[in-house]
Amino acid sequence: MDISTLTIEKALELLARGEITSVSLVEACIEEIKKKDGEVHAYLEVFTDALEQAKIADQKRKDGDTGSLLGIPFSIKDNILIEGKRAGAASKILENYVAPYDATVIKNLKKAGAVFIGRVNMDEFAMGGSTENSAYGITKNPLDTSRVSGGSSGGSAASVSMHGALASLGSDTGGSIRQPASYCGVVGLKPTYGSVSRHGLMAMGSSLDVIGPIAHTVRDCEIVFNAIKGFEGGRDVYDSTSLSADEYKKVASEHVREESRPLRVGIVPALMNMGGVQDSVKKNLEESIELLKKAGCEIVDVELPNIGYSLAVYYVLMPAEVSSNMSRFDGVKFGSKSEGGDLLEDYLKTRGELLGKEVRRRIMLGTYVLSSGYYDAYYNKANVVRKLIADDFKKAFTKVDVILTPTAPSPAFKIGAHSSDPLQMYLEDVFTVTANLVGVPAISVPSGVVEDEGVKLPLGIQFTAPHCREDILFEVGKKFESVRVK
Amino acid sequence: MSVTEADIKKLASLARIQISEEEVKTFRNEIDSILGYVDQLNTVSASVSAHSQVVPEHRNQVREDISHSDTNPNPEVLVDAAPSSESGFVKVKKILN
Repeated sequence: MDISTLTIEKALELLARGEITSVSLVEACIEEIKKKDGEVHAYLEVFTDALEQAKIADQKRKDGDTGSLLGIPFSIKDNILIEGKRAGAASKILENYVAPYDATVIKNLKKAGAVFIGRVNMDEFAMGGSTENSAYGITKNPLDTSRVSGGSSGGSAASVSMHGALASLGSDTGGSIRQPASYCGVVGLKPTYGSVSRHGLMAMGSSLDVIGPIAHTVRDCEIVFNAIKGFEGGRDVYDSTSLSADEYKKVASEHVREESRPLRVGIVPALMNMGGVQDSVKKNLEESIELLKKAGCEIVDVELPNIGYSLAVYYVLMPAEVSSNMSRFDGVKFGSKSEGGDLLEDYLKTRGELLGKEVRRRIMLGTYVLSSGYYDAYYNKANVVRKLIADDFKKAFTKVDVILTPTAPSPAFKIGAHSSDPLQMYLEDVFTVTANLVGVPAISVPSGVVEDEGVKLPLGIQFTAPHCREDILFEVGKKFESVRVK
Repeated sequence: MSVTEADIKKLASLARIQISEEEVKTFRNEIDSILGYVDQLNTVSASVSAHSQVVPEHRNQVREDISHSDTNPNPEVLVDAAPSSESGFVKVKKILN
């Protein structure tokens, strides 16, 4: 079996025809992991029962089970809980923590018959854009190991890119699924806020976080999305911001997409003039626009007057939410602990010694913007501007079905390139944070390569659709894949 | 520079994070440069008052106060996850002297 040409779609066909087994799929993935992961370091742990799970899946298929992901091997980001498995968000503070229950997405994947190969690396508590902030070492880009895999779901993207899994679940707070997918040459979907339950995901920015798939094709992401969204009996009782199927349908119906007219793709010319966007990225976007025209799309200029403030809004609201969410890690309730002389010293030492630098920086930044005297100037103001940005998108979506931007301002950068300047690292999120602020779905699709130092580095383009219109992302994404230069 | 070293020490103490003297300096520089960047929010049109409140789209959801013990993990499993526990309780150091 050549795992390097397999997609979920293709594997499911072969499994159904009995030409391959889940066991052979998992063995092939483990073979790739053995070959490449010593260098790449995508996996924090390969589960010892992966083959056992695959055997069970094969037996279920024999017994007539037709789960939508039956026997498909997945890697799972280290901040999503699988009952009985270690989960640590790549942090020392959760050393030895074993998940006491399944995240809702894991329950859904188990129901669909997926096999879990292992848990994959990430920036500590999903804070970062390069997986350099993991307490367990960097995940390198499988396509050029002198470069980062992106982040925070770098392990997810790298594991799929190197064929160590057919798909992965990541989480996206400001671009953490889409940016690593773009850097590693795979597809990453950030679903509509609330369409996928956050129950069992370690919280970072609760008004921004969403779980989504990373896979080789748009169709594969669609298959996974259909399996992980939704909950039994309306909304997920454990996630009060989750949408029921009826609510999802109702919101989706607010955008009218007439099948008879061509798909309208909006572009934002002003965005490309922002500083920091590499020429190769601009050129690739121009080429992608031409390809979309060829595929029958109509290209329309749109204005998003306040989008330039997105990153500033994000870097106020996200740390504010981080500082609240991270207060639960105190050495008392779970995880590990650094002993002090009294309870206060226990807190200070545990959080001081076991949380990484980026996490501590964001907690303190959040504490600052929420503190008395600064709350109005930062937190309140950011919420007001967040609303303005959301209104801009609402207006734009009356003219177009989807908005096109690059996923990131550059291809994967060299390891260490931004590590001494956090602000520079934050600027990598410039195109992705808006979808989180607005709550709309967005997908990154590979759009070609740029040659740098003799290495071909992948680039990605991002489509953003109105709330609950993942279907439009899949439609335009597949169209683009069909005309893309391989 | 708008953030002082004393501010950083205060923040660290409020956030219950122990940091070294050296880190006070680097955090001060980094947090100052990030705040400098987000200060551009103050250039958003004057019609937006910092005091205008945004009504959040998501409202708090309440649910019936019923036990989900059939689907929830056993309390013992949760208590066992604590670094220190005794007789089914999470254990901490004495708070009052």
